[in-house]
Amino acid sequence: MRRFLDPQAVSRLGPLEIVARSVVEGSISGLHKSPFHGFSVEFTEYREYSPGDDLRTFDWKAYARTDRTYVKLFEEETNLKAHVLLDASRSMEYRSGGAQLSKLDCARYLAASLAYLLVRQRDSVGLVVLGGGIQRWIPPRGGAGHLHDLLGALEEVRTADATGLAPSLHRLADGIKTRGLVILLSDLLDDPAAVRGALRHFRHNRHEVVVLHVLDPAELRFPFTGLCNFRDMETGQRVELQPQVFREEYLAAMEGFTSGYRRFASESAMDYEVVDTAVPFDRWLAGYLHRRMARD
Amino acid sequence: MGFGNPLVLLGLLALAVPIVIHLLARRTSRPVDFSSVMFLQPILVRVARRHRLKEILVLCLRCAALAALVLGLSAPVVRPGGARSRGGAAVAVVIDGSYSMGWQEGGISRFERARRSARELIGSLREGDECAVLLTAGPRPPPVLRPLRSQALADLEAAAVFPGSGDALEAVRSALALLRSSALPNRVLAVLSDLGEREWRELAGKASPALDLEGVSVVLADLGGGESPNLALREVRAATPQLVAGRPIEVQALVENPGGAAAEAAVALRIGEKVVAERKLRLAPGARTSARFPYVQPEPGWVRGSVTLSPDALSADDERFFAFRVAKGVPVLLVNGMPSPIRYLDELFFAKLALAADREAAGAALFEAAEASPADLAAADLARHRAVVLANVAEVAPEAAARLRAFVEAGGGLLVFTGEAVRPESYEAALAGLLPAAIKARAGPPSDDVFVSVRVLRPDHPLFRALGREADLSSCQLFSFHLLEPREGSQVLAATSWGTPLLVEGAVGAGKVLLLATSADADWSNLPLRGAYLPFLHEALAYLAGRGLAARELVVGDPGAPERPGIVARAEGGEEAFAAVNVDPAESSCRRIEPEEVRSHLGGSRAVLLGSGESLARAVEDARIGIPLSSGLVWAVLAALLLETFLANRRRRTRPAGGPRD
Repeated sequence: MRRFLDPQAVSRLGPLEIVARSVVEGSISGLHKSPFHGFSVEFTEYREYSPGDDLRTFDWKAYARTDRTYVKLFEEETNLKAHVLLDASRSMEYRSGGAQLSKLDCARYLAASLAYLLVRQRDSVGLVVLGGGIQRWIPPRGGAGHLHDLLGALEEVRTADATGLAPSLHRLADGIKTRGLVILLSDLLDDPAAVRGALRHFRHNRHEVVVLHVLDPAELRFPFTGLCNFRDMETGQRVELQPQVFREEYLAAMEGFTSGYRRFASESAMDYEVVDTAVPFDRWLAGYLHRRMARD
Repeated sequence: MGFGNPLVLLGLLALAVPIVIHLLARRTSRPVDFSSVMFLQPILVRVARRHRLKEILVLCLRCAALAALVLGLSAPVVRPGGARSRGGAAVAVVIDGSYSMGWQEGGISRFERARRSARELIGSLREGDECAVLLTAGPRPPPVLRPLRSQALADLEAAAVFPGSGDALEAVRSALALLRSSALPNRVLAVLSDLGEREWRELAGKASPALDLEGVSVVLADLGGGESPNLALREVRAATPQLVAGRPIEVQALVENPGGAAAEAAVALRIGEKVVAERKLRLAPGARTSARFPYVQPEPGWVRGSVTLSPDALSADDERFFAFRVAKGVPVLLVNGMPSPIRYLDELFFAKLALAADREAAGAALFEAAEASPADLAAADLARHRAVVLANVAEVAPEAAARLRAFVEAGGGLLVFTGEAVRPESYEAALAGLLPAAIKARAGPPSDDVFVSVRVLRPDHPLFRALGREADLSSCQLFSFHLLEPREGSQVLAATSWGTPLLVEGAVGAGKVLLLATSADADWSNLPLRGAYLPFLHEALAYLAGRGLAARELVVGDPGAPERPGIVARAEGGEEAFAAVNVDPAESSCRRIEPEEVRSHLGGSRAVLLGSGESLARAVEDARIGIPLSSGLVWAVLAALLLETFLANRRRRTRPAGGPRD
C-alpha cells in the first residue's frame, strides 16, 4: 500500500471527513507527540523529586541552595484553540496542468486534515472562510460533532470575488479574543505589506500564526510558452506577452514575493511554508508536521 | 560590382520568410487564465520595450544572415576601376624610369622592385590578354600592346633606369591612349613609381587637365619613402673667375643631404682618372655645404674631371663632371692712342707694366695683353679678347665703333681713358650709344701746384670692393680731366673733388663699359704712380672681362643632350671643346608628391593604392575581375548567426525587485 494518498484518488474518496481521517490515520498517526501545544503552562508548587520524574522540571537552583532535590509542578496545559483561515478568493481556483488539485482543493484538504488532527488531540478548532470578506466563521470547539460540521462547511466552500485579504484578517484579529493558534491557508495574492500588517496584528494579540502559502507549480515555475494572453482570474485584467521572455523576471519577482514573506515570518516568529500543489498534500503535511515537531 | 551567379539573387525573396514569421508570431496569442497578473504587469512595462528592440534586432540579424548567404552564393565581386567582365584585359604597366628609382633599400633598388612586381604581373596574365611596358624617363620607343607575355617580359627586362628625370604625366597619357586603342573589354593601368616631385609635378599641378580614365582600372604602387642615408652633388663649378694656366683654380662642389638621415661621405676631385684631392664631410638631413678644391693647371687647355662622393643609397647623384677651359691669360686688347718710342712716354707704359706685374709674383700673368693702334682697330678680331682698352685714342672710326659696339653687346668689356688727344666731338659722333657719358670739354686746376682729388661714390661696387684698402684713390691727384655728362642708365662710380663725374659705368647688351675722364699715363694725374693703380686696372679689366664663357654643362634628358653623364667633345669655332654632361640634381630630392594626391589625379577612390609588400599582380587581378566578396559574406553570415544566437538566448540578470513591493 502506498504511504501517501494519490491526490486524484483522494478527490475520489468523497467526503472530506473520510479524506481527513485517511490522511491523519494513514500518514500522520505515527507521530508520538502533538505538533501543536496549548499555552497556559504556569508554575504552582514544589514537590520532592522521585526517580522517573521529568528532569526538565528539576529545580537545580533549589538543589544548590538547600542541598535537597525538588521538582517544579505546573498547572495543566489548557486546550489549544485553533482557527483555520481558508482563503476562498477566485485566484485559489487556479489549477495548472502540472497540479493534481486546485489551490482551493489543496487548501481545503489541508484544512480538513489539520482540523481532524487537532480535534483528535482534544483541541478546539474553528474555521473562517475568507472570500469577498469573511464568508463564514465557525468558532473553535472540540468534539466529533463539531468536526463533522466543520468538514461539512469546508465542503460547501465556494470562491468569491476578492475584496482584499488584509481587511478581513484585521477584523478577525480583532474578533478572536482568546489566545490561540491561527492557521492561514492562502495564495496571499494581495498587497504584501497590507497582509503582513494584518498578520502582525495576530502576533500582537499573542496568537501563534502559521501561514501556509498555497501556490500552483505554474505560479512557481511559469512554464508557459508562445504568445499568451493572461487573464487575471480575480480582476479579469488581461496581459499579452511572451512568457519565455519574461520568465526570469517573473521568477525573480515570485522569489522576491515568497522570500519577503519568509523573512517577515522569521522576524515575527511565525511559521511560514510554501505549499506546492504539485506535491501530494498528505506527504507535504506529514513532512511539515515532522519538521515542526523537530523544531519544538 | 557584379555577380557570378546573378540568378541566385532571387533567393533574396526568402527574406520575407522571417519577416512573415515574425509578424504572425506577434499576432496569434492564446488565452490563459492565471491566478493573478500582479507580477506580470510591472514586468511588462519594464521589459516590453527592451524586448521589442531585441526582437527587431534579432529579426534584422536573421534577415542579414539570410541576405549575406544569398549574396555570398551569388558570387559577388567589387570592380573598383570599372572592369566590365571576365573577358580579356589590356594592361599598361608604367614604370618610373627616373634615376631616383635607383635608390637602394636593403640591397635592392626601387626600379628592381618595380621590375619584380611587373614581372609577376605579366606572368599572371592570361591567354588573350595584352600588355605594354612604358617608362616615364629616357628614350621611349612608341609603346605597343604585346599580345604575348614573352614579348612584354622582354620589354620589361630591357628597361633600365635613365640617369635623368622624366614626365610621368606624358607616360600615363601614352598608356591611356594605348589602352583606349585596345578592343579588349577590361583595361588596367598599373603605375609603379617612387612619386618623386620632379617626376610627378606636371600631373599634380593645378593646371593639369583631368585625365580621361573612363573604363580604366588604375593601380598605383608607391615604391618611395626610403630613409637610407644619401648625399647628392648638386653642382660643381669653378669658383675662380678667371681660369688661367699656372694660377690657382678653385673647384667648388655643392653637396646636399636630401635624405631623412644624417650622412657622411668622402668627396674627391678627379682630374681624368686620377684623384687629386679628397676630403670627408658629414651633413645633417636637409643641410648643404661646399667642398672647395684648389687646383693648378700648368698649361693652357681643358681641365676635365669630376667630383665624386663615396657610394650611398643613390649612386646616380654621386658624381658630377666638369670641363673648364684654362687660358694662357685673359686676352685684353690695348689700343694705344699716343705711342712713343721712349718707353716711359708711351701712353700705355704704366698700363702694360701693371698688367705684366703679376707674372713674377704668381708665376703666370692673369692678363694676356695685345696692343693695337687706332687704325688697326677696325680690322682687329675683337672676339678673341675679353676686354678692350682705349687709351687716349683721338677718334674712333665708324667701322671700329661698330665693331666695338658688337663686341660689347656680345659680352665684352670696354675701358676708355681720355687724354689730351681725345676729340670729344669725334667720340660723341662715333660712340654716342656705347659710352655711358658724353665727353665734354677738358678741365683742371689753373696751375700745376694745384690739384683735384678723387672721391669714390660707390664703395660697394664690385670694382672698389675687390680693391680693398689698397684702392685708396683719395690720394690721387688730378691735374687735368674731361668733363663728363652721364647718360641715362649709367652710374657714376667716382667723381672729382669738384663734383664732376670721373668714372662712369654703363651696360650695353651683355657687356659693360667704363669711362675714366683722365689719362692712362701720368700726364693728367698721378694715378699710375700710386699703389692703387695696379689693383684698380686689374680689377677693372677682370670686372669688364667677366667670367668669360660659362663652362658648357648639359643635363641628361634635355633635348640634344647625351643619355649618359660624362664629358663629351664638341667643336667650337673650329677648335676642340668639351662639355660636362650631368644628371638633373632635382631628381635626387626626397621631396615626393603625396600618394593620395597622385591617386586623386588617377581616378581618386576608384584607383587602388598599393603600399610596400602588397602584390601588384593580385591588385591588378582584383581590378580586372573584381574583388570576390563571397568569403567575407560567409563570415558575415557566421557573425550574424552567432550574434543572433547570442541575442535570442541572452538572459538578462534579473533583480529580485519585480512584482509587488515589500
